[in-house]
Amino acid sequence: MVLVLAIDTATPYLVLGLPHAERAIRLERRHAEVLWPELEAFLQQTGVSLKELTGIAVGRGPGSYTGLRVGIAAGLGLARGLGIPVAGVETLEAVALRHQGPVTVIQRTRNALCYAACYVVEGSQVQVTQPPHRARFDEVVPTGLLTIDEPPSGQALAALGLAALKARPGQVEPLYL
Amino acid sequence: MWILGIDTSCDDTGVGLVRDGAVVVNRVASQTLLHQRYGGVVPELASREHIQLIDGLVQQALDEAGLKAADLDLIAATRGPGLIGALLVGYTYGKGLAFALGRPFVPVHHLEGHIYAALAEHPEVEPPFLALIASGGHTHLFEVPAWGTYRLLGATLDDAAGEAFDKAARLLGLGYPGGPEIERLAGQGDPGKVPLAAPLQGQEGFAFSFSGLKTAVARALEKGYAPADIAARFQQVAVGHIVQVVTRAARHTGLSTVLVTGGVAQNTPLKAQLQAAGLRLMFPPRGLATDNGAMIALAAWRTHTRNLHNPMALPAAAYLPLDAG
Ligand SMILES: Nc1ncnc2c1ncn2[C@@H]1O[C@H](COP(=O)(O)OP(=O)(O)O)[C@@H](O)[C@H]1O
Ligand SMILES: [Mg+2]
Repeated sequence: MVLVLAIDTATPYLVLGLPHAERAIRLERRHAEVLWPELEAFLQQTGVSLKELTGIAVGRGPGSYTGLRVGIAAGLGLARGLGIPVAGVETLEAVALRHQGPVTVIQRTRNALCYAACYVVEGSQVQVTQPPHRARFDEVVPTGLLTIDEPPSGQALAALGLAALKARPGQVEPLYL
Repeated sequence: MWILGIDTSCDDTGVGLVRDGAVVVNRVASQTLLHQRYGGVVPELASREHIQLIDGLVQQALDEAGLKAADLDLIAATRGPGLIGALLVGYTYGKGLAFALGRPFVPVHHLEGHIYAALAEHPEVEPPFLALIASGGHTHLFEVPAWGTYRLLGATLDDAAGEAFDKAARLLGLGYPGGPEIERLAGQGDPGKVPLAAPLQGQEGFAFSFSGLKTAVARALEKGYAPADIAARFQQVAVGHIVQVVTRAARHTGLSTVLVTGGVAQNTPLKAQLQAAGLRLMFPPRGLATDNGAMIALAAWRTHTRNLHNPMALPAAAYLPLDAG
């Protein structure tokens, strides 16, 4: 049995994910402290013990550099302690996977800037039509459904993680955009 | 008991392993070259290096000791002070490791690490003692009445001691870091030839001050004194000032054991004069004198019985006084 735990701190949310459950809490800051009690509660509620995990997925962003490194550092430490592999997944892809069809994902940052990317989602498959990039918020031309400042889906992060653990184990380099 | 220590407070990624108080592994990935061409540490670059290096370094450290992560009894990491983005990498990684292993996590003050590094080769020394930290960024004198307890006796009112050596060296046209350069040039000069007053004469406390000295060096240069004589006099006064404050603190507290850490501790006349003052001195061994992870594990070894309420909830902190906790 494979069981992937996902952690994403690239957005103002702390997002935890398992294939069958997610927890998304809006925090702005303090991800680094809130992460541990939330993770403990999440595992307890879902009835999953750390020992059952077979892999860790971490969100590579894009997002606040320091913020997303918190989730990656946490994931690396957890994986080393549990003796299981870790892999990075793209945060905005996991946002798109909350929807179906063509989706434009926007995460606003400070001063009228944002991170944007376009995808086409079919079932659980996601195809990138425009990779994540930095843009002025008012200059993004959306295709399909537009989603702004939505957290990534925890389940989607875990599902993407499963694939990433096979394809790119150990690759957790943040997306510095 | 095996303790893993992590330090990512500035531009070095440090991971160390300590067994029952003895350093077994001390691995440091230095970023000095990376930052050199920017003329100083670039915080974002430092953080990027830390996140890339930390896990591999921990694995190498475990391999070197022939350990598995599950063999660790305690995980310690620097909480502060330092660059917040850099600190967060090692600190959060350490928490993750502790969480996964179900082992205690010990937040460590960076200066605590430097203090206990001086005892790495002196397991017989017990508190109370004095601890002098004199580096490029710090000049602090602490009284340590018990493991993990610190009372700040005095600190610099302006420049750090090492900073003063560096600034004086620059005025004298010497290279960086200035400490060793001044020490070398001072050996060729005559301190008696240059009038240069000692700082904070008549103070009752244990404060340090070095900025006046720097100004005096500039003035002496203008007056045409020979650089070697100025260097000799500068070193004599700076060292004399430190020795005076430390010996007065020793008399005041009745303590004669002094832990001396930080780059300035490498100054030969300083060592000699502190020794001549009848103090029992402890210096860190070579590899533990600069930032490293082993010293963080050493500090955890000395302080982990101090009961912290929920250390996992303690945030990393760029500014963090040592004597408050
Ligand atoms: N022999 C020496 N005499 C005086 N100062 C020295 C000597 N060697 C090094 N230093 C000083 O020590 C400082 C570096 O020490 P370090 O502990 O690495 O400090 P930091 O990490 O805060 O820069 C520099 O300011 C340097 O000039
Ligand atoms: Mg230091």
